[in-house]
Order: sequence, then C-alpha cells, then structure tokens
Amino acid sequence: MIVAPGTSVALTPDPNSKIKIVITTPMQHFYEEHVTLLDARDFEGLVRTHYQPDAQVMSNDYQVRGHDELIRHFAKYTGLMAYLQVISTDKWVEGDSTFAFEATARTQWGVGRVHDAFWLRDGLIVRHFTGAIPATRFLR
Amino acid sequence: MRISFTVNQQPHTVEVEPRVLLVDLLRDHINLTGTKVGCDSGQCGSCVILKDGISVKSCALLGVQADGAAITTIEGISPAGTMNPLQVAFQAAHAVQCGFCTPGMIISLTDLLVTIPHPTEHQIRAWLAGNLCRCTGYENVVRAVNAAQQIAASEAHFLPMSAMRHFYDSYVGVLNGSDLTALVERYSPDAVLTTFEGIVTGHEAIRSYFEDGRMGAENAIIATEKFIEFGDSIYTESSVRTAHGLAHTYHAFVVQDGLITHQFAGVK
Repeated sequence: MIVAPGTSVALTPDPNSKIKIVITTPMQHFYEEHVTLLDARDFEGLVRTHYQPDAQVMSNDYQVRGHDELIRHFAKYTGLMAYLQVISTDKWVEGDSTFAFEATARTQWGVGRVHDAFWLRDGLIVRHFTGAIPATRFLR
Repeated sequence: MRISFTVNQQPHTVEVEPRVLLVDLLRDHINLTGTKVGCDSGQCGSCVILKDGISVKSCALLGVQADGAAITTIEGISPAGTMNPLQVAFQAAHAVQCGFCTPGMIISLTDLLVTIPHPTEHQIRAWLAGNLCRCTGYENVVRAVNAAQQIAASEAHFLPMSAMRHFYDSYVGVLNGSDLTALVERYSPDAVLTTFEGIVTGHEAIRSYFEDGRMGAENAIIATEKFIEFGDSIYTESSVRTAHGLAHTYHAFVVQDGLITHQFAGVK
C-alpha cells in the first residue's frame, strides 16, 4: 500500500467481518510505523528498517527485490500516484509471522479497495504482496 | 512389458502388451478418453498428444514407445475446470462444431504456438494439414489461433508452462478434486495459511481448514485470470464457483523446495 502526505489511517472494522481488530498488537504497531514512514516519504528508512535485504514486493504491475530496488520503487510509485488516502482498514488479520489487511482508499482515480499481505522473518518483511481492484471499476 | 512414464505430470507404471497403441493405452488403461480415435491410421489427427512437448499422433506410436516420456493429453493442457488461452479462443471464436477433432486440434496448435509464437495464416493452415475436421470448420479455427495469441499476450505467459505454473495448475487440479491428502502434501509441514477467517499453521490445521467445505466441485477455481510469478512467489486472481455463486479471489503463495510455505487468500 502506498500513501502520501495527508494520509489518515482509520482502523474501522468491517461490520460483516468476524475478525476483531485489535489496535495495539505488535503487528499493528509495525503497520502504523510503516504508514508513518511512507507518509513522511522516508523510503530509505522504510526499506532499511522494515524489509529484509532479500525482501520481495509483488503486485500485478511490478515485482521488485532487494533494498535498492525497493527504495527506487517506492519513490517512483508514490510519485506516479499523486496521492492515496486510506479511508478505512476494513479487514485485518495477524499471526506470529504474517499479517494482512484490506483497506478502502481514495486515489486520484476514485475510491477503491486495496489488499496487502506480509510475511515477516525476524521482525522484518521478507515477502509483501499487494493488489487493488482496478481503478476503472471503482470510479465514483 | 512394464513401462514408466508421466501423463499430465502424474507418474504411471503399467504393464502393457507390446502391440498396444499409445492411444489405446491412454484411453483404455489410464482412462483418459479426451484423446479421440478417428481413423486409427495416422491420417486424421484426432489422437494428437504431446510427447516430451512435441505433438505426435498417438495412434501411430506403440504404448511401449512412451517409456520414460512425459505425455500431455487434452485433459492436462490446463488445470481441471480452467481453460488456457487457446481453449478460451476456441470457445470465443466458435471454432468447435461437433467437437471430435477439437482435442487433437488444441494439442497440435499448442505445439504450433510454442514452435512459432506468431504464425501467419499460411503457417497455421499448413500446420493443420495433419488435423482433419469433418465439419470443415477451419475458418474459425484459424481465427481462434489469432485470438489466442492476443489472449496469451495479455496474460504474459503461454505454454510451455514454467515450473511454478505447473505447480499452481497441479495445486488447482487437486483443490478442485477431492483428494485432501494430496492437497495437504502441497504444503510444507510448518506452512502458514493466512485468510481473513484466521491463520492456520501446519498440516493438521490446513487439513481441517480444507475439510470444512473449501475444496472440490462445490468450491472450484474455474478460471485463473491473473497469474504472476516472481522468484519463489506466485500471485493469482481467480474466479471461484461457490454454493453462493461466483466469487473473485486473490491468492499469494511462497513456494520453496516444491512446497507452499506461506499462502494468503482473500475475496475481492
């Protein structure tokens, strides 16, 4: 998930979800720190403190591996996407080494859903999968 | 004679008489009847299969000639319940009339598109010289081959499939079937399956998860619209038929040493 200055993260549970969202878990703190670093456009700090050296980020559109590629990717992708404001985090699940969420977000193209999944090794992301419903399907 | 070979990635060891044709071995001994017997004399092409990736007429080979080979029949050209770009194009272009020649056509044209990724109309027609259609529906078959190239390009992959694609297709085949043990064996002993219904770890928990009505015909992946692989990871988006209708799902897998170590799944 990419965010830009002005982002707000609202942990609003989906009323239909059976998942109870707990805001104060270690993974939740990790996620909030993740968003804060993105919000500050501190891509170097984000990648070096949140991703393993051999980490991969993968989506429909791009696949990148390793710190240097990740830093360049976050800078480029955030630049392309003028802004992305997280309206709500609708689903959340976490375990000892994984967490995933679905969120509703606003972009320059409209409001839509994004989903992200993370596998962490020794507290750092080693695999990050991300996706979205195409913007054309959620233009409002 | 005892021979060992793989058919659609599944190993087989069979006792077969030396006189038995490969097409009869596949149909009568392994029960894969998608391969048709038309002329039985190497003329019509209804019995074409892939032997080590090369299209051959299985009525023109003895079964024992398959010893050690990798055979792909129409049943294995795409995972159960799904269609590859060529099959999608055949359907869309109405390239099927009575359908008897279709398995042989699909297999032959799969070989064509691997051998000549962008064939001309002349090359398509020349390649099909060994496949006879008694309905004479060749025009739409040629259109389908052209359409298949566009479909394949949009998905950025086509046969021959990568090892990861083979793994995924095999996984889907098992998932769509009801072989729970074979499905669980796709996972490493300490695999982690993360969904918004919860996280399960290890074979027993994964077995329990799938036992709860999450596999088989009532919950089948009927089409994988997106398949992307990168290193040890796969990302897919699929249509799933459920008791409540069609669902659009996404899955991410980490596959190491041939086993799933991590899987994420959600519904769009």
